[in-house]
Amino acid sequence: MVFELLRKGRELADGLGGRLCVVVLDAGLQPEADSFIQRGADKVFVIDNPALEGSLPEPSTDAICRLASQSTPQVLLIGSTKKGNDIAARVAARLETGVITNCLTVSLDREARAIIADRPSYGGILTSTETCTTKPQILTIPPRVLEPAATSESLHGEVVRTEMNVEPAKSRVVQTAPKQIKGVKLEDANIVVTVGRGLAKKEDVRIIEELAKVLGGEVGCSSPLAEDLKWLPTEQLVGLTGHKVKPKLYLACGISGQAQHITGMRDSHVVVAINNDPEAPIFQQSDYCIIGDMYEFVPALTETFRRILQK
Amino acid sequence: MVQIIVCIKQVYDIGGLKVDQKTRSLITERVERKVSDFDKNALEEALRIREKQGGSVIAITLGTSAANDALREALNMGVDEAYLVDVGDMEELDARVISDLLAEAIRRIGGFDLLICGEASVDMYAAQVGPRIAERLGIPLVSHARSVSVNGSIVMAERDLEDSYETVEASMPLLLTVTKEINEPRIPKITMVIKASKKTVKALQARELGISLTPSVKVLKALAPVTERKREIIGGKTEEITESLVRQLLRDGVVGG
Repeated sequence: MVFELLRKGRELADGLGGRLCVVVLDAGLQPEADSFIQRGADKVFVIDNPALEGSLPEPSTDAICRLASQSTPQVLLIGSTKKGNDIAARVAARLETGVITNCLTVSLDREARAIIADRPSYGGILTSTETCTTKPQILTIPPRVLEPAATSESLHGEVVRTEMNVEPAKSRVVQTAPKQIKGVKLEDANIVVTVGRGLAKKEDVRIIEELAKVLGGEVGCSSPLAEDLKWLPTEQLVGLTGHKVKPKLYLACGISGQAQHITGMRDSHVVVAINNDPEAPIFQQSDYCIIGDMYEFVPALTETFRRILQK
Repeated sequence: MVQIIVCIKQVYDIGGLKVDQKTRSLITERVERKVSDFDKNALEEALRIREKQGGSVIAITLGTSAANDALREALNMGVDEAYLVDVGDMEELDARVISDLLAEAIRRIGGFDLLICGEASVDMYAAQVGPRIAERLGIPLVSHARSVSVNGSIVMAERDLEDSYETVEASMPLLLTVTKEINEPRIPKITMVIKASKKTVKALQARELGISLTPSVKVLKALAPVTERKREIIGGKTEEITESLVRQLLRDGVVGG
């Protein structure tokens, strides 16, 4: 993710005629500092303070704001993770500036020295083009939206390690339980088969799993199944409030195609939809449309794929 | 006894929104408005905490007088008081102005132990306002909580992070943001609605809160993205359709790789 921000950061720094600094909030990452220089950073600050460990936003907010008051950055780029967005919001509030979160694209208006970013709005129905008019301009960008920076050994820069005084968090992490990620992460999957309200009972997800298995793909779902019915975990949720996927093949089974869902799969290369309702909005977002019952077509497709792919 | 303030947002029902195909802009006429989904979970969680611990729940929103409907939903669920930060004819509000106004209004209401927000609004999903309010009020943030328990002035929350579930312990005052998983919001019974009808919304005028109303982030344009899709309907009998599709996907190079 850092390499992706570095490439965009370099582009923006060059356009604005400024320097690109990476702030590393985990002293354990110091060995990576040189790789950041080789990918375009002019300077790397490694802040050594154990208070910065973990996912609570307050200590990182303090560290970034202290650095910002010393070096008055024009732009802050932060990865759009839950922690990143929390930190970006707190930093922006403290520095009395704006944040554009979950950017889809980031570009520079050289004349205005302003960064223009697109992000989804109204559940993803619209793409909103925004700019922050106060400094620093803060943007959070999700992983896999940007291309990573290439490495070049001819690049040089400065690595500074500092033991900064940082206000520790008042909250305390009592326990961390890693999530069991079944199979491949949806964001990395080449083939994703998703199911929506067309699923009549929780157990029937089996037919979707069989299709995914024959294709070597992963199973996802729409918001109603994960957030309302809770038949599938949110780890499998594709959409605005879940995962964004960009597989080669996306199969939407019994999914109506609400805007929030489309936002999660819009970048799929080829989209197939199966839905009983010829008016379902999903068909507008699909390459191949099957108007029919998913309970008929999903098993039939599984059989056909099995037969033809195993030839 | 826990004094809770819940920040809610009135949003359009996204399912009802349509796009003008020519101008690629939003058609909002006759589209229903409602309390944002995650904010309903926030209200519900506040009410459950009040049921267990005693105290009070205040709902607050920022908007025009149309937002009174959202506060009415909250009152019907059982909140004790409702406040509107009335922005009148102000347009172009960004997260900075919104959170600064709400933080100031909350300061003036005073005496809170716990602030609860949805993890993000269901329409913009920027997840900014809650965390910004926490910063303005100088209190800890515990975000993306999928379960919460309160013991005196200590809150334990299980956070839903990308790769883990993290249990955090924090002391009040603090701000929580909650996920949809945390609870099922109650549907008000008619007795609740009648009881709530006696309550009125208290209004604060945004312009009188002493906050700078100039947004930091400006929206230059907002248009529906253009999607190029083939939209090819595959017809025929079931066997014909599946055979046709599988062959096509092989030709497209997206399966059998």
